[in-house]
Amino acid sequence: MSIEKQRQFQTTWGGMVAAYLFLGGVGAGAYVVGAVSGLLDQGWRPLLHAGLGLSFPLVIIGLVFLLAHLGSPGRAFLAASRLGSSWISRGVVIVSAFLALAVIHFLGQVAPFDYVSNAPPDSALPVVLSIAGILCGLFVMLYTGALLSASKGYPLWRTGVLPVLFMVSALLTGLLADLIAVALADASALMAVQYRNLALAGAGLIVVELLVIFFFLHSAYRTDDSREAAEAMAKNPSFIAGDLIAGLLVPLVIFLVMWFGMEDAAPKTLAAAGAAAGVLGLMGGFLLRSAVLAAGMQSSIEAAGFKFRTPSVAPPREAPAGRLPPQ
Amino acid sequence: MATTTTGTDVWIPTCCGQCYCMCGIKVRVQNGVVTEVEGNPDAPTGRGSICPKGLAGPALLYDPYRVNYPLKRTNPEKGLGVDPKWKRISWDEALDTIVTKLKECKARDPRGLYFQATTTQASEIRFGVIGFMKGFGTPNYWVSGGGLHCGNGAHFMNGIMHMAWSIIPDFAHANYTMNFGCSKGHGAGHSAVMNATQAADARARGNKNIVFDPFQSAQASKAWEWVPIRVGTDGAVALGIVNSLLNEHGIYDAEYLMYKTNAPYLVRPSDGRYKRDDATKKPLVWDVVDKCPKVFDDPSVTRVQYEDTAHEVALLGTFTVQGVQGCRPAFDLLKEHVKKYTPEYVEKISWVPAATISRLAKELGEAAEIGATVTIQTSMGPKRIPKRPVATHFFRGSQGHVNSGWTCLSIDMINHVLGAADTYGAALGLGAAVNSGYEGTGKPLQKPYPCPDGLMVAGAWVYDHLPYPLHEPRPPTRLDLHDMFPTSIYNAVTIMSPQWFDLLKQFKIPYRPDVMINFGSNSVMTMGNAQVVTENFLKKFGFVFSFQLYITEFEDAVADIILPDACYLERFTPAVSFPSTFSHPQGEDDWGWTIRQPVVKPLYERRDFNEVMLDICKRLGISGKYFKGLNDSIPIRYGGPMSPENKLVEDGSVDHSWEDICDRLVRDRFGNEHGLEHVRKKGVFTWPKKKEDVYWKWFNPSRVPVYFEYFIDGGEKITKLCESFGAHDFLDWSRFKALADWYPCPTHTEDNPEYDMYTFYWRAILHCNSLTQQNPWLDELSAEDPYVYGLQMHRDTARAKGIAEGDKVWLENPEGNRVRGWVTLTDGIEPHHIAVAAVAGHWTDYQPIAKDKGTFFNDLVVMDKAHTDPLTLNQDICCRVKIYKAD
Amino acid sequence: MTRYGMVIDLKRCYGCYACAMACKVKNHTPPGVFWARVLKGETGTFPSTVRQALPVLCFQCDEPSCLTVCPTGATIKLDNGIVIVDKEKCIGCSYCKMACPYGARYLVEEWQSYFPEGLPLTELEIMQRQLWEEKSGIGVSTKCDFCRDRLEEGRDPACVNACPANARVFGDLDDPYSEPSQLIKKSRGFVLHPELGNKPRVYYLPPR
Repeated sequence: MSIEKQRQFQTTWGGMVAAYLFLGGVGAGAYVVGAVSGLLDQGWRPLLHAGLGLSFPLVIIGLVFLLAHLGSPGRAFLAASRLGSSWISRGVVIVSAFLALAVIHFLGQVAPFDYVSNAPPDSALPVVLSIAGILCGLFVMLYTGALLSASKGYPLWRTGVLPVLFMVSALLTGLLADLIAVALADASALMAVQYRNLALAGAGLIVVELLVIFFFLHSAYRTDDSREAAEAMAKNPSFIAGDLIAGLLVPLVIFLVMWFGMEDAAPKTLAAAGAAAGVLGLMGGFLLRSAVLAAGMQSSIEAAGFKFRTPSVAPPREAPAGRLPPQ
Repeated sequence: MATTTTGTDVWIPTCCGQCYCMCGIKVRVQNGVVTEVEGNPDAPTGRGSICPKGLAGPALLYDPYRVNYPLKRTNPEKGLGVDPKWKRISWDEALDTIVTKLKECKARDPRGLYFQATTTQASEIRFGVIGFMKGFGTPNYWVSGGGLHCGNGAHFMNGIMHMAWSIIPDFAHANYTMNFGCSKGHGAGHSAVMNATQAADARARGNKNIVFDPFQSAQASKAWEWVPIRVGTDGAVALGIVNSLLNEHGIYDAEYLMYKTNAPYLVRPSDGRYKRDDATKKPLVWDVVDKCPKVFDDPSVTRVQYEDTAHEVALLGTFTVQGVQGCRPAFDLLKEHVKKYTPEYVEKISWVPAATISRLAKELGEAAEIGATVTIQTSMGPKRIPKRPVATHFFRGSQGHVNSGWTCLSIDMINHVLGAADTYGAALGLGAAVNSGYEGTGKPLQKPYPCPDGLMVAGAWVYDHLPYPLHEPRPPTRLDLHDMFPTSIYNAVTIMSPQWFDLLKQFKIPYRPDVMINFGSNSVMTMGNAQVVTENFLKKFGFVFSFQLYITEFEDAVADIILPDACYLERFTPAVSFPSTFSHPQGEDDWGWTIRQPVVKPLYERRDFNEVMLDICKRLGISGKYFKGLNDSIPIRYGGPMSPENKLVEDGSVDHSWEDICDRLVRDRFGNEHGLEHVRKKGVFTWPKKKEDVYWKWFNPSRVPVYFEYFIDGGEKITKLCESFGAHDFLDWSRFKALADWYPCPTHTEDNPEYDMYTFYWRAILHCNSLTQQNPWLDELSAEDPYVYGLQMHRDTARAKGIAEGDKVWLENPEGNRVRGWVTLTDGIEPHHIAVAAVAGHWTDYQPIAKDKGTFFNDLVVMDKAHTDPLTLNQDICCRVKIYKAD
Repeated sequence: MTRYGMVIDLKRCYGCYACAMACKVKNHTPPGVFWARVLKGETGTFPSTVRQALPVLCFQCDEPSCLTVCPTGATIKLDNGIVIVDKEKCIGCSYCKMACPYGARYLVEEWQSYFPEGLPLTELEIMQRQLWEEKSGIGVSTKCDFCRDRLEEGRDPACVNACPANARVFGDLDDPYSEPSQLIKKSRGFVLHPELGNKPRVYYLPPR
């Protein structure tokens, strides 16, 4: 392989990790969107329930992916040993705290517990719980980005923009997940205006995410390595078609149509449109994580006026078996 | 190492066998399994270091694709692409068949037996091959590939000029060196690891190495200056440098030329031969002090040691000698002869800028410090000798052309003009030529001695025939007419010719090829175009059996029986750093006689080649003759005859085992207490080297030629001989002449513009010959390397041709042969060249790791008269090709 | 206290891969794993092109980013300067691999043969597999440890021992008079990616 082909794009963190980062983000986002809506007014209860109901299982499924990625999952319980420096250890704590709060909050909303939904009107519990959960959720979102940006070997990721990007994407995909859940459970539970408000919020988040993506890629021009990685990401067809177009632009159009063009539509119609945008957006969110991971190009090494790259590890041997001499 | 494996854990010292470099190794055997290799610090060849090929030995030993049982061909059809339908047979069946075939051959004419061997196992072949040839009665033998790709010119000329197989700078003291197309000191060449250490030390010390190479080879990348050169033109550059030294800068070592060469020998104008003394017939020199001619060895005009005193003799001028007018010293003729190699002329040939040639010659000449001396501690006390810290050297890259012989000589001529030969800091023989032997026995003893004309005769050599004097041309007896040629080295031009049998008829060879024994060679891949090798040569043999580690393309094409050979880790070899000057320790470190010993018993039904050859001899009833053959071949190769008590019994009354033979040879060299058992402990027998053995030039009375007067004779004789057989234009014998010239390769005169690229192959450090490609560890690193498996091409050239990185392409030569590969772009190559690595591109299914890796360069190589050096019969291995994309 | 380090002289190195192979053979690393590796670089346009090899291995950093990110404490910096992995503690998250700017870490999920699938393992492979699993482990992060076992036997690391060019000098970097310390001082020794602050214990000497 010639010198210029020697660019190593990591494969260590692949689909499993992308799924974990994605689901962790969606779960936290779903909670945050639901909890924020719950703080606004009783009319958003269906959204609150969707968010609380989704967050725990999504994050748990994400953790299952994470465990599946581990080389030695049997020892995963050791992972919180180094809170002082490791984002994985910190993540374990943050995610655990979030899961605990999400469960407490969720159970408080449903019979037979009802301690949140039936709390006295002057009780601070729902608000305190929500705010604590929202803070934890935001940490979870940020952490999925911080995990990558602490990887010294991968210059593309070494930027504070990445946690922001993952947070925005998590909020958006969380909103979309909530929207889909409501649409599937009981599309008429929300009023048309609520759907259209959600569409507006979604559109806003999409615009912000597009800006952050642009900023993320643009900021990668800081070094040759990160620029090359960013270029690779910007040329990745699944990122362009799956995330930018299908996952962001199409939902943006749907949301704008919902806001501007569907003033008279029935809630069910709006729910269906929102869910369609949601499915696309969720796919986009996963592909964004995948694309960021796939663009992870190991830093080259400059020494004595030369630039060295670690060649890709030879692909697994699939040499045809040939023939053994007669034995 | 922390391991829970129970049982034994030992390190066994032995000698590597992944190439011909003969580095000492230690092999770890854990619980009976060979797990690790490292260098043997006791062995001067390597001193504990070892290259990646050597380290990868265990993968060869345990490769599941090794041949483990005798196999026979069940499909009678032979040729490329034919499935031989191998079937396992017993050793008894195999040997019965072989012995029957050999007996039939012997009855027809034993000379119909052809032995073909590999250079990789260069020490094993000195026994089973040489002894058997002598015992059986056949003169026919060759090492495929090796000889014609890297040896004919180089070994011949180095033998004449240094009594060595090769030459190398005295890295310990050389300050300025020139490297023409070779990787000595950078991963290959004889005793490669040791030389790599020395070359690295030299770099660290500040040695300036100038590398002429068409691409950024390992050595070019480490060079002080890389000089890109058109392939095959090294000889012209060398002559340009000689001219620049002599006629532009006026730098030469007169002392050396006067007393250590034939430069002062007076040459008569009539026919270019020496003006010999009327009375003694000895060549004459002109005594400048007494102003009269004297015989060259007159004590008043000779200096053996540097501190001897003598009259100056003339190097320039015209003299009337014993009535003959116009006699000139040989040097005067040389000086005039090289005048045509002006820097400008050489630039046109080589594409090396004229100014560069002139500048490099000046730098080299100044660095030679002509006149400087140094005092060394010899066994005779302190002695003053010249210090010449410069050297030029070369190997396969520059010698693999039709101008092989003269190119090698021209490059080395620079050393001799500067007096930089076999003295402190200069070009030294590799392996070392002179050996005073082990104190206790005086063996191995090897040193050069002067012929009646004063020129150096090798006192030990790898073959029976010596590089000097020339072989007396005589009616040939061999199937390759080998013994007809003055230089008497292998050739392909006869045996690969479609008219081979016509030639045999013409030269009245009364027998035809009959049985071939192959030892380890894969000649289908290592010689030239596979189809030509197979059809014109190999298929002419009625029965072929082969000792082999793997089933190679050779066996698939033509072998009838394959015998599973033991690899170097499974066998004894009594003398590995030897024979003679092969892969010796170099420089001032100790002498070392390395042996191979089995670190594990041969696995499965593998058997060692030499053991099997003994067995075959016994079955043929020629053991006694075989032992005599060994006895006869030992003196020239291993530094002296065997003492009577160690000599092998020649009457067939004693059944010497292989171990006994090994033990006898070692004991004979180092005394009874230092037999095989003793040497096995360290894997090497070492003893101190005398300084006068290292820097022997000014302790030895012999001279070397700068004027090849005797070539004139050789040329006349071979011309006459050929004509007597009616072969009038066999080869251009006019190249047998007294002074070197550069002759173009067919690539340089190719005028079809379609074939616009020059291609050549280079030696990747990870590989040796065609053996190592199947090693999965070496394969893995080869795939890591940007250059090993690709075709290196300059990026601008590629762009102009619409070829991109990684593109699959064909290289096609004017003969219509083509090979496939993929392109790796680089700036590190002269833009008209394409570089191909190693003997790659295997296609047999029996070597799946090697299969389809790299490019099979040799398929492009043409083996005809136009590609053969008349002087040395070396083969040209550069090609002109067109390159186009493969679909 | 001896704190090990290494100097690699790029002027001596000619890129032969002996270090990479010595490491492979000694540590029985499976396919694709190169605790010691040789990178190749090229610079300049023809005819001023130069190639250079860069042998790399774990630099046993004093501020190892692999250790910083390790969530379990499996990565340990020993007093002698060597960074090791406690395979009993490693969960195989590969975070260390992502954090190492020098690409020194490898995780083997499944032991593989060098030969095509379907063949029975050779005697050597059976032994290698066993040694790899015992010493380095499956599903955990693995890396060069300066051949700690050889050091205990008083021998240099395998790569140092093999190098035909003597390009590698191993020793105590805390001793200012040790050979490597002196070389670093006298021959303009440098480390790779100094800006990242990992403080590698492997230094290079310039190629020219």
